[in-house]
Amino acid sequence: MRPDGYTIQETGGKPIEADTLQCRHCGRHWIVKPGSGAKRGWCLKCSGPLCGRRDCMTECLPFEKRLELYENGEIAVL
Amino acid sequence: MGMFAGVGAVVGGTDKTILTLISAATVRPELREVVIGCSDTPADQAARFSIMRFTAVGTEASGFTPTAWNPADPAGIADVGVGVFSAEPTYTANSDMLWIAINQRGPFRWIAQPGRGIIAPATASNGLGLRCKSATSVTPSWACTLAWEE
Repeated sequence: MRPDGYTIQETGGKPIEADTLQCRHCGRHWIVKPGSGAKRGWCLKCSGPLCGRRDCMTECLPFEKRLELYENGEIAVL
Repeated sequence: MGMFAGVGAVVGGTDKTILTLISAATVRPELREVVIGCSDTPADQAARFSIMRFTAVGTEASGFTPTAWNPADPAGIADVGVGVFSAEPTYTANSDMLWIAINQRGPFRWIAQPGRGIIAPATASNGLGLRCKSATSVTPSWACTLAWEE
């Protein structure tokens, strides 16, 4: 899967690199940690990863649409 | 469309905002890069940062005129607030867009793919804040950069 972002951090003199993925419904990024046990998801409509929060997992509301609704005052929280 | 940056060196602490990227009614700034490093003598101490959404800008210590990465670009529309904030921005609960846990001795950088950044709505007084959520030592300053496209 193509990463949505990339991190680099120096720890103990060594650079540690990691990819980040972005939730297609809320826009948040998380650092990919293979074997972390965190439960994420995949939206078949958006064809992209989901962060695993209940709001994002239960309904397909793409982030662009969510932005429009928020800017028009149709939802209170982005 | 151009890239802009805002910088600041601010003492951290529990729920202390370092920098804010303030949106406007006519632009959706897309946060594409975050750089964090300790700008004092670093110790073996840790801190946790988060990028969060806010709906009120709070009271910043100082402003920062965004720097255009391409000097030929027109001035940016989004704005930057630099801590220490005397009144914290009003953050949206559970809106942590990116968690960052670092050691003072380990600078951190995050870069998003174009089109995959963290977007703030085109709504006045809304935006994204780089917030120190907790720290094992609150004394050092954190030199931070936010870079965005608008």
